[in-house]
Amino acid sequence: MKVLFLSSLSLRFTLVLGLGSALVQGEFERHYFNDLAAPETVEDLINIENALKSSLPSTRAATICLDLGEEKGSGSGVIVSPDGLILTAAHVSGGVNRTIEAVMEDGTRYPVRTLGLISDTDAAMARIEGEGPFPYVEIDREDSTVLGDWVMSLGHSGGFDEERGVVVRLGRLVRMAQRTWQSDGTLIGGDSGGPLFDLHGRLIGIHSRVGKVKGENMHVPMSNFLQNWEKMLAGEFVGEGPFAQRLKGFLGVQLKEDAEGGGVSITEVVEGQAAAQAGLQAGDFLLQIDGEDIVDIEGLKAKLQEKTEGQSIALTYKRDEEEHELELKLGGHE
Amino acid sequence: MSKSVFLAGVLLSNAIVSGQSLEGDFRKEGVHVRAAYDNLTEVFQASSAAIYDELPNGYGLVVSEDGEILVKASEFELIENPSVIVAKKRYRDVAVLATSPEWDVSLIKVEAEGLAPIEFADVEPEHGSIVLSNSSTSRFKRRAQLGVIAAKARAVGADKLAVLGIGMSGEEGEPVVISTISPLSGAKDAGLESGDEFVSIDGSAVESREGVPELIGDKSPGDFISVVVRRKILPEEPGEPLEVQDPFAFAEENPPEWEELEFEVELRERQEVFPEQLTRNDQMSGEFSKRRTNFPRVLQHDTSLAQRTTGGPLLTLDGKCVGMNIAFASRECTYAIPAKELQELIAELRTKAGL
Repeated sequence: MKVLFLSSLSLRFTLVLGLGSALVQGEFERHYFNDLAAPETVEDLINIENALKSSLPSTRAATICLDLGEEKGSGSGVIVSPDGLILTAAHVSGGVNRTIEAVMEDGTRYPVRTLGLISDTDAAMARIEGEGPFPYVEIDREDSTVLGDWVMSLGHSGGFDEERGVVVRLGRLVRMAQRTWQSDGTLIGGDSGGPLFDLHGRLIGIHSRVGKVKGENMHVPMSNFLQNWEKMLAGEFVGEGPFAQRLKGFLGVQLKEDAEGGGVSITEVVEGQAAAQAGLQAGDFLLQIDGEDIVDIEGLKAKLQEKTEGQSIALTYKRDEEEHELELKLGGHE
Repeated sequence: MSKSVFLAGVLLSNAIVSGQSLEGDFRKEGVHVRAAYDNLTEVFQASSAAIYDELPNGYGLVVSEDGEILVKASEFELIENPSVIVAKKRYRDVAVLATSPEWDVSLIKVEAEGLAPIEFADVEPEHGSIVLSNSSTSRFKRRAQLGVIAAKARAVGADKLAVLGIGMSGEEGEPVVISTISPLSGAKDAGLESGDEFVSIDGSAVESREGVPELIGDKSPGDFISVVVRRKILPEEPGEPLEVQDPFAFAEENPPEWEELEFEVELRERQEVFPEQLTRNDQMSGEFSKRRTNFPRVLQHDTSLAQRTTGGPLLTLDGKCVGMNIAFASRECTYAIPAKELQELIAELRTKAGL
């Protein structure tokens, strides 16, 4: 029994020699119990249990609660890099370039900036704005999970609870379609955006939604994240819903018009919003947007209204009598 | 073994096809997975009791050879004609020996001998341990379902369980006044009214709002406390309007009088007196236990029970009992009283029953 367990967990290293650099690729052997139609003995169950238990400490540490504020409640997410890159659900992050908060299992809080999302599959990315290294999990990039595999769902079910900690559920992968997987480990509100792992502790999906029946729990598979990785990292809002809606573009500035028709200038930048992030300051004169002259505030607003969050604009502005150009990505405004 | 592997091969080779689905029998609660721990259902057969109303209505834990059984008190007391099946035998004479409102557990007794009491584990299961609970049952056959310990063991519900069922007002230094009364409370039934000013509880003066729960102390639901309040006596309406020149003369001549009244008030369970607002998570959880919070310490597991499948033992894969399922809290969450506290509770209930 113990031998089976050990062998099923043993690492097989494949050494890949590249040009001038050596790359070590870690590969796990498939758990034998995943190749049984069903566990046959209590010993098989004990091996499932042991695999789950040994994956728990590291996966728990990387599973975070995403606090969206009192009105919107909370979801979950998972850290996938030591510098704090987070994967979650689009309906949790809610949009691009927004500020939310991460709560670690021990209660430590960090500000989080949302990056891009795929609004038609419910995938999203975000980043902790804080000093790493953070606990993180590995993604199964090989897409090695198959129907019937034993999986575990983690999350901050119903919201953060320090006394309780991260909640784990066991299940099997019971349905696989290209962009949605279903498991029979039961999820509830607050789990959205949380991680689905194989029993090696590799991230294979993100919780998205549930059906009426307890056995219907839907996840976005990692393949969907990996296909859209660069777009999400670049803060793009991809797709037309239904898991997130685009907001009107938001610059995050207070403006005034020069009385003599001398143009539009910034009186205040809203901290954390697009303009502030791009480095614009109070006193800057805004001259052009996407190559068109800015005549008055109304004109600028109309131009911004055509844009949605996550889209970029080119701005020409004047500071200290010098003209500058920059490209900035608009935030969203609810 | 080879047969299953072959079956798996068939299943798995199809798995990559878009939209493939695992047959229900192979899912976590399916018949083929249950077969793996079929031997352990014998423990449920011998040492869990099926509680019957007309239909099966919860489970119990056999704790002595001569028929002592632990049940979930708040569900059991609702049954008019309870009967109990242990192994394959039905017992119709059921006596309640003692109850712990704190844990929502009653010790009941049937006339039996030679039963197999549950065996308690020495060690508490870790986060991630597989656990088994009673599932649906037929008259003679217990079934079990599988889950895992889902979170840290802890207390749930920080509030006191036994409440008067009132809201209070009154700033510091002012009298504490009853501002609202729950229609389901012992306070309402005893005759307390909003506007009453607290004087004392069980002979101790009430000096602040915070003082009220303190004075209730460790009392349990069902206990009575003595409450003394001051109440304004409203002057009777004057009969014939006299020739009143000064409209305030009447009030001046008839200052409000106060009377001190004493009430014996029954304390009731918080969730009975203040029904919970259903959250979205509650709405997606089906029939959860009515009493599902305010337990001193629980194990949390992910087994999907129902209101009617609580009360039975929680086993680990060695067949040892690590707890008693006491509440199906929500669709992903069941609470169990840990074996350690449960064994202390059995001793406490036996003492209470004079055993």
